[in-house]
Amino acid sequence: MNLSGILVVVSPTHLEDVTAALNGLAGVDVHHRDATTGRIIVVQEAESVDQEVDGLRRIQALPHVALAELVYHYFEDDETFAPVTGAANMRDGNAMPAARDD
Amino acid sequence: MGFTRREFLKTSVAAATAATVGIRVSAAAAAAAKEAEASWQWDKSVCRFCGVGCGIMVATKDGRIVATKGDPDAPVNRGLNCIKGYFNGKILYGKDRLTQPLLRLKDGKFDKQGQFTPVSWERAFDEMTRQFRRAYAEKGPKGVAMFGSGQWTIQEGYAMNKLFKAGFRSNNLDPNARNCMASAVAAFYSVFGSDEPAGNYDDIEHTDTAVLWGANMAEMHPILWSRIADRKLAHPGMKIVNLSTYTNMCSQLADLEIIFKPNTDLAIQNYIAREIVKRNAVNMDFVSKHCVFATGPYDIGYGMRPTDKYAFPAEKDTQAKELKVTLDRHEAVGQRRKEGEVVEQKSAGDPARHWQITFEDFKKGVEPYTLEFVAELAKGDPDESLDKFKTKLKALAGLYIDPQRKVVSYWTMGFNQHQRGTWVNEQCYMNHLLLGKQSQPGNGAFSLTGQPTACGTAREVGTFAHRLPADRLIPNPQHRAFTEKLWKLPARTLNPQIGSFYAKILRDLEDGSVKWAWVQANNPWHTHPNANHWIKAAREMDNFIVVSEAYPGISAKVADLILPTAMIFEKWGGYGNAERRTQLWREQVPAPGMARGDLWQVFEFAKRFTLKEFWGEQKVAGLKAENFPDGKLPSVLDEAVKLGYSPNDNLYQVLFATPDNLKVKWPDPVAKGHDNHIAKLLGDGWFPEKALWQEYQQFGRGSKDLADFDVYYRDDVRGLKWPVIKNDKGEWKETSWLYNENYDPYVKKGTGFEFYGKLFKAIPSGNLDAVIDPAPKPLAGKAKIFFRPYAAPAEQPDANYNLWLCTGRVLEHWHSGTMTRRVEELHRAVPAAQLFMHPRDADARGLKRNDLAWIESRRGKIQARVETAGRNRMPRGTVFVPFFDEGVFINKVTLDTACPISKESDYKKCAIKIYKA
Repeated sequence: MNLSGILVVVSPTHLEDVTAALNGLAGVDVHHRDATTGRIIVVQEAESVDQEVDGLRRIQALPHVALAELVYHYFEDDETFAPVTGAANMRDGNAMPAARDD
Repeated sequence: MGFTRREFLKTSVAAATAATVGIRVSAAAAAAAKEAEASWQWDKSVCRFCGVGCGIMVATKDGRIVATKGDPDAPVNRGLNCIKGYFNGKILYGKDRLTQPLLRLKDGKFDKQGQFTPVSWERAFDEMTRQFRRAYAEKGPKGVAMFGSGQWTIQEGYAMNKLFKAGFRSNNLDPNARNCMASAVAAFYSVFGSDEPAGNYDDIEHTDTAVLWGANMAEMHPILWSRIADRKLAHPGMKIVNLSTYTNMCSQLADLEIIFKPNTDLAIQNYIAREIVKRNAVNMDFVSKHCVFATGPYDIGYGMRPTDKYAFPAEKDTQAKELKVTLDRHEAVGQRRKEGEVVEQKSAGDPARHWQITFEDFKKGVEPYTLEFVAELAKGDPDESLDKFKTKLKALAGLYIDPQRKVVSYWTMGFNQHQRGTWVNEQCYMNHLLLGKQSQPGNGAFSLTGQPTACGTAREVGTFAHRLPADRLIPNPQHRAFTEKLWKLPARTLNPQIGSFYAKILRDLEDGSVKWAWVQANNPWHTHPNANHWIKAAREMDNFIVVSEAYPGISAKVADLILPTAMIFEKWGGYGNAERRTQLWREQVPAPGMARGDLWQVFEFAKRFTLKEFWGEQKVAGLKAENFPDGKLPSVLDEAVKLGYSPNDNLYQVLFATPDNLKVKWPDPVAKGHDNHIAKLLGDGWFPEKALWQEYQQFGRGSKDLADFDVYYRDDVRGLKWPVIKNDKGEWKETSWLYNENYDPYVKKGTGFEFYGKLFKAIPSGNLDAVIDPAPKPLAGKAKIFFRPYAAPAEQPDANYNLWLCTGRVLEHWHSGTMTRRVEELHRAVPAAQLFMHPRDADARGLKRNDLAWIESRRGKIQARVETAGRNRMPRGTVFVPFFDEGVFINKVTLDTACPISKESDYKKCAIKIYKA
């Protein structure tokens, strides 16, 4: 499970609109608001990795959002990640990259 | 996981986030948060990645990291994280983490063509030791080498520096920081006589102008960029200038964007200097009291080998520039010579030599850099009008010169990875010093760093082939004597001959002069330019390469032995960031499997050698130094016995577990219950990270003072900016601005400013072209304003290789991706390096977005997918390819020219061609 604590900064006049829009996003809850500074704290629970990657972007894309910053990251019980391209089996003697004539 | 637990956690995350950014929450929410986190242990730590040095808080439970957050008390980042920083906790848990030593074996024996096979640490060290002895017996101190790192903890760098230089009497130890900020260091030495920036990050909140010179801060230093963005919102007069060879993310916020051709930053800076002079804006009071003028030779080569013996046939024409250059029209004007003149690069062997000149000579030097000349030379976007470009250059000069305006110049790799990297750094100080806008809050030239402890470890500890701790230099007899005394070594133990710099170690492997090399905390075979040479050297020459790694990167794959390494939160350590802030952390979790800290690896290796193997007479070809026989290091064994050593003592006893260090006991209350796997494995009762810190601390006393070890672990301390000095009340006071009487305790009262650095503070004098009076003239307390001319890049696009290639990083990945590519979110965000190019350049080659293309230079070719619309917008004629992706191995294509003074490689310019794959 991935939980992100995110700081969202908006113009104080749009606090209500943005709060509603944030609560309308899947996996996002507004927890705290500071009406004078226009700061909102949301927690996002990502249901998939793609959602977490996109999560900040969809918040940043909402109207009247000046800033959205990741602050807190909780990932207990998270599955570990399989290696990416080229991380070959180290038992393979030919694991080094080919030289020159590729 | 139940609903209640999940809701509790969410409440907790929300409350912690709110607290981090200073929003008050209800008592009920705070209580819920407390309960959710009841079984966690939080501790302060630092980010593993860039040179900004953000503070993070790490939560652990049952030996695993469960959460991280920006540290609200950290003055650098004030609770915020960038996207990489946010994922710090996950870098430990990639599936292909290396957890056991792997040795190439065939039929149970080491064989260079063998397969990687899991072995015990004992077996790994046995083979490593056997191979080391073989190389040392054949080649002496010059036959072994160490690739160090700006990511080594301070203690790791310090220990390996000592093992190589004092134990093995070899100076062949050089860090990847060579390719990161060596040019910055060379200019700090030549201009100020002391390394590292005068200012700090608070300059951002004091300034009116941020000028970015080849620094894509929005991607590479995102937290500092967010501070600049905040400053712009809060301060209406704030202006941002982005100078770059292509449009990057910083341009979105910039008031002025200047796209210039590679290397012409040298000309633009001279244009600014000329304008300062022409507009009578020189701060004569500041300059006459605190500065002198200087210059040096122009014929210094391009940092390549002086021979084409090892060059591929296609690269011989570029290599030939190392010996002879035909001046083009612009160089001829900028250097007051004739176009077509052939200049032998006679000063390549001594490129750093410099001398004082008069202000009149300086003015003559910058005189050719008129607006017309510089605009025509430097305009980097063929689709921009010359008039518009001229207007921009004038505006830039105006921002620097405006007496009401404070200015900070920022740079990183655009300046440092530059064939004239030292010059272009010096030029930046030139303009700040001419204006007197230096070493004051909001005013100054600020060299950013790329790595988390390029400053703290590589530079301050001096883990370079020519350096010793705290600005001491290998060729200086007093500096060696000081070090020998502090390390309790016999006189003349240290080798006075500078060792091989980073690129030279790779060249030494290729030509067979180095036969044994060890890599820690970096990835030379992925990150060094012109990689085909070095891969061939590693795999086809008779040598033995050891790589300590957490994940299998390219260097691990070309190695003969891989040692599994503990990562940042699995050990004790310290980093020093770009604003001189030193931060120490505790071990948080155990390392997986058989992985162990690099420091433990240094100690265990040291245990396998005795004094008599190294402290007897050693042949060193070419060694020539005062009080040394030619070509030899003398035996110091008799002296060693007088100091109480036995020739049979092992290097661990002599260098590390010394009687003084053994008095520093583990366990220690400063640990607050945290473990120390290295102290436990050693089992001899000392606390190595603390003991080595205390030993190292003595080097900086009186100039670059560091606080006591425990001070950095106090709850109310978030790193301290050196010099850190204890006052009469016993309080430790950090220093915010160097060389300024109001802030720096080392500046003489009444002087206002004093550039008190000690290196290169007596030099000859002459005119723009030559030394006239060779007698060294002292310039204590003063900084140097250098005149440096424009020089054309050694390789430029032609009819065949008809595009410029620039390389660099991306926001989501750190260096060669060995860590960040193990975090799925970061990997999915940017899974592969793209080829950024102008749509019309693509079109002209029959390519469109997402097509696969070949990128080919004289040195190699690789494939990448075309991107014509991404975060970087290229001018026609220039392409950009990030280097993090081993599947898009761009360093097979790049050119290994370097700044001849700093020996830092230039990754920002070479000629390539692109065609459809």
